[in-house]
Amino acid sequence: MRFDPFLIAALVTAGIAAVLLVWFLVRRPALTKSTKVILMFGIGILPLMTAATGNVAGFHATTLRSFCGSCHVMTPYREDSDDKASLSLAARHARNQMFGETNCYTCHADYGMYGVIVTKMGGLRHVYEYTMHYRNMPVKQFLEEVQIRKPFPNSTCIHCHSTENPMWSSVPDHTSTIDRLRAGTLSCASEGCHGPAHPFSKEAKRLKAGGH
Amino acid sequence: MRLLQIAAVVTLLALALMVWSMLQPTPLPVMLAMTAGQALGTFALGAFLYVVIRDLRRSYIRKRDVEDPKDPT
Repeated sequence: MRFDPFLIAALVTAGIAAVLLVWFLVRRPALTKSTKVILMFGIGILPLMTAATGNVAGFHATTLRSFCGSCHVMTPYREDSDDKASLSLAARHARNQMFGETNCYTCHADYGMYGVIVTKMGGLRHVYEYTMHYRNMPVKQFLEEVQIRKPFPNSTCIHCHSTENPMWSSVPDHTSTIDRLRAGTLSCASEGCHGPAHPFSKEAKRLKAGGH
Repeated sequence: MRLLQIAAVVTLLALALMVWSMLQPTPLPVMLAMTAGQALGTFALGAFLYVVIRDLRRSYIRKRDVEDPKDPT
């Protein structure tokens, strides 16, 4: 288990609250002022602290690759990012410390003002779709049939690769396509440029289309 | 007293859901903790506050009646 101060705080406060509540349920003390104070900690203050710190720890956990990869259909994506020898766009970013264990979230999150909320709402949709439609689907079939809901936005790449850097501009393919890149009509992650980010899914679709 | 006992049991359930989500951070436990867990915790806190406020109100009324008894004569 990873070390997370919020996780430790949540577990400690939950533990103390549980001890107080079990004491109250087992001993059944008279409802005096001191019993009410103890219950205020057991039912109120400590569980609120558990919820607050637990939410932070929970939010952090939902940004980890292990969380994204916990649904079986995401296994190839997680394994590719874990593979130190993989040359896919996703795996190369996973080896960058700026992305690391949160590379799925870093690339697939929205970066607008309400980015976190929009991203989490999208995540809820993923959980719903997975639970209702894909939880029994074989991985091979998933790779062939399911695709990203909306095109991967270049703004996510431009968030780090600004397109203003002289080294970036010295690449002829960049300068010749910069308007299309900024307009989003040509994807940075398209084949022939820097993509596809997850080649095995595209390969599976190609094989299926070719009848193999 | 009965309501407080129910609130204590419900709080234990909520805490169990939250701890489960922290020890096994996969979609189902995390979503349960952030929805059902928080709803149960809020219900328990509401029940506790209800009992405390009701007791305070009763003791206030009792105290007022002792200090200022209404004598019809």
